[in-house]
Amino acid sequence: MQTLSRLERMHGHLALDFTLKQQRTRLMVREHRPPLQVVRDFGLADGTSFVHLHNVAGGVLAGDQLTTTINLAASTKAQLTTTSSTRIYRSDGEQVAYQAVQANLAEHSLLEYWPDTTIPFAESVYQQQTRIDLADDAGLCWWEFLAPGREAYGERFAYRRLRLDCDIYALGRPLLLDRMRLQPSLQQLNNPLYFGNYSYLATGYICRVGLDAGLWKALEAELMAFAASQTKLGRCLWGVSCLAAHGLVIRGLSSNSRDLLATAFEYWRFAKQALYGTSPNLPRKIY
Amino acid sequence: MPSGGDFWLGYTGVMMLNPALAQLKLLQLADSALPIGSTAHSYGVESLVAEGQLGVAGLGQFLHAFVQESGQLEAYLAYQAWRLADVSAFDQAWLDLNDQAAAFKPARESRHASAVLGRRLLSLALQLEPLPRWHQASSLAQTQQIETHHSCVFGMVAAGLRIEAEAMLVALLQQMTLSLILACQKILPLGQVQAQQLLWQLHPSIQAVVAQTPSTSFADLVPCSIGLDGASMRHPLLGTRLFIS
Repeated sequence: MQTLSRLERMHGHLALDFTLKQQRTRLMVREHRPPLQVVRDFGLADGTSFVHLHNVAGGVLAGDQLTTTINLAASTKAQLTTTSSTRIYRSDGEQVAYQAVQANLAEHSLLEYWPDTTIPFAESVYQQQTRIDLADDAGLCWWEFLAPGREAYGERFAYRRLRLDCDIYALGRPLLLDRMRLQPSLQQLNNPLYFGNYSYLATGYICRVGLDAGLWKALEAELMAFAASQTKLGRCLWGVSCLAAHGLVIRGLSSNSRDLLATAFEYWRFAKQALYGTSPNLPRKIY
Repeated sequence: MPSGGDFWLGYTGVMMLNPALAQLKLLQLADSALPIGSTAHSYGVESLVAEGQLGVAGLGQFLHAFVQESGQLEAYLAYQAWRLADVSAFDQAWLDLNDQAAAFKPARESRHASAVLGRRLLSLALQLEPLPRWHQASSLAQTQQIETHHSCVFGMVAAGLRIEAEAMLVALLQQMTLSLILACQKILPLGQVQAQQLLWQLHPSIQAVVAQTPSTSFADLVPCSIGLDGASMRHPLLGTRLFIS
């Protein structure tokens, strides 16, 4: 049985290169190993390459090691999304379900990442490491959504351990080191230092390297006004803050996932208009 | 500046300040009355209280988690700064450490508070004892236009005074926790005795964080305070505010 479970572990890998051809961004899948897969990219009207990231296993199992590298060449634009929620399955022992993403954004490129919610099942052990490197004038809109478990199934913070890191570097210097370890057996996650009375977490990172600090302060004020309009005590809390330079971070806590997903896109609508003078392309699943 | 007779050989083999003298200096630097503005900040706690998320009843658990999470980060930064005391390539290491300190603080107001307190502590320390390394750090901040964060400065100042790392870390976390408790006293019905009891009960948590700090690496560092960070981000929205952050 133990041998069988070893055989079932996956070392999936996906390497995506985005290059510029005739003013349009095209995807080249340099490597893909199951369960990670990309079928093709779709060219959007503004030249953006739109890509669905598939995990044909339907989730991440204990012992899986899945890695994705994303390289955007200069002046390319890519939008990535997942095809469904990322399910993190239970771990029988101390086996960790592991995913890592490394994104390198060259000068004047733009990456938009709209994943579905990560759902850690009861008894799961999961580690996710994301590292994003931004060159001069590179732009980023990156979201992460985390559920407390399968709530409809009665699971809330029933996972064993989660570690979620997102380290963003701009011009080689750390811009944001956003890391969390959630371990319900050691932490009381209903403590207001963590989730309080809320269950779902959304985090968005919006960056464009090299823009003036005054612009970020103005955008923070605009997004804060929106955050205030969307904050409803007992249901949903939002906060927005400038980073030390080059961007801002948005954080939402909610008692349900729908509030977070719908509102997150509105932040990017405001921000993309301010940063690029254009409207974002609405992924079909966001209404 | 300390004279030759003020030193003794510490257990780490490094020349340390005479214990009593070191303790005196630490007591002064870690005093909540030190005029660097630490009592003007709540780091988002004011928002949590205003939103009804935090009351006196849950304060003990909240502070315990605060020490575990934020304490872990601040102790790491202070310890790394302390270790830079005799490093020859100080400039880049100091810039990198303060970059990291800023990057670990997503909420602007809390990050700014840390930077302001750091700048004021360094300025005050220079007026107490103008050590060359402190001048170097101060000059770097000006020429490179970087923020110098409170815990980094605290660790560097302690190292300059040849204060043992463990004593420095205990003092830093005690000061940090006490500042937050004092802030809570202004916005919650928290009495003097109850406040002291809370702090007293946190000593094992402080001790645990201090004990693990020397073996904590950059990769291990996972300070998680998503609720408090979000509250700090919402702090500018409060109609009436007692605190800057």
